[in-house]
Amino acid sequence: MATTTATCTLSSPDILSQAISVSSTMTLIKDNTAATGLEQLNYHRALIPTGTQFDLIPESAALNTNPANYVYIINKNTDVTDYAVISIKDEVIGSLYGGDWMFIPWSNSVTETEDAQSGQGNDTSIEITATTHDCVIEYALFHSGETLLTADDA
Amino acid sequence: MATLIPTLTLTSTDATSDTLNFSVIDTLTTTAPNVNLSQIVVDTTGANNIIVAANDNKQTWVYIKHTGTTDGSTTTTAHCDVELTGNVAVGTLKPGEFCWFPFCGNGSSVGVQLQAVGSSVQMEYAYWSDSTGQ
Repeated sequence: MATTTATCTLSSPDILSQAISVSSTMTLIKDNTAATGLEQLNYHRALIPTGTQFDLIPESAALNTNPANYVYIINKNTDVTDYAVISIKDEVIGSLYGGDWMFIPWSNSVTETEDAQSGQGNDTSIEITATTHDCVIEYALFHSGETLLTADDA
Repeated sequence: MATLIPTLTLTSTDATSDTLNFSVIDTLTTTAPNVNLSQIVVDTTGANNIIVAANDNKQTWVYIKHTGTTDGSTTTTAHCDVELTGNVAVGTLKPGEFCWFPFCGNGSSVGVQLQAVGSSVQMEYAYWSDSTGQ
């Protein structure tokens, strides 16, 4: 059973009159349990052309059934004015400019009135639109379920 | 304006056959409005717990952490959904978990809210506006 940890540190020399540094570490765990063991990892690098909204991480029944999914996305462009818009269910979350990253727990069961972990909400994907220039995007999806497609010639 | 440096480190010795260990560092230039680390007791109605108001396209960075308690001392296993106020749940935070993401609402009068599942939980959050954002 794989054990993966994520640590987020926020620091600033001047956001307050004194320098600050806050750090938090978490272990990625399975759905509705304290057990580690998210044994599946997708790491992806893609060139996102401008102008079209794409499914970056498509929803699937397996991901919905096992909704303990963790997503890391980074815009690898070096120009900090290049950005890509991240959305879920056509609702814009925010923009990743060159060098920006995000880390979220993701459920593709996304009805506000439903518990995000219930699996009863609307299925949806994480979508992306490169806006100013093509964007090189990398993402990691830590999860415990994946819908595998039977090969056409199986 | 001020500088904020968020860093993420992902590590595992057994998620892959080769050790997973990498860090990413970003540098953000922030401006008002911002809210430095705060705590809130979140109940089970999302509309009661709007932590980032709709901001008309202002690029904002949001940090949210589940403290694992109901009040700072009493432990809880209840989790907490992170939602946009336009009825979209991004995901759920279990005790001890955090998230970090950009938020802009895209001019659609959408904010960020928290909704505890089953019983109240104490959450930490902060947000900073990005001066380079749209």
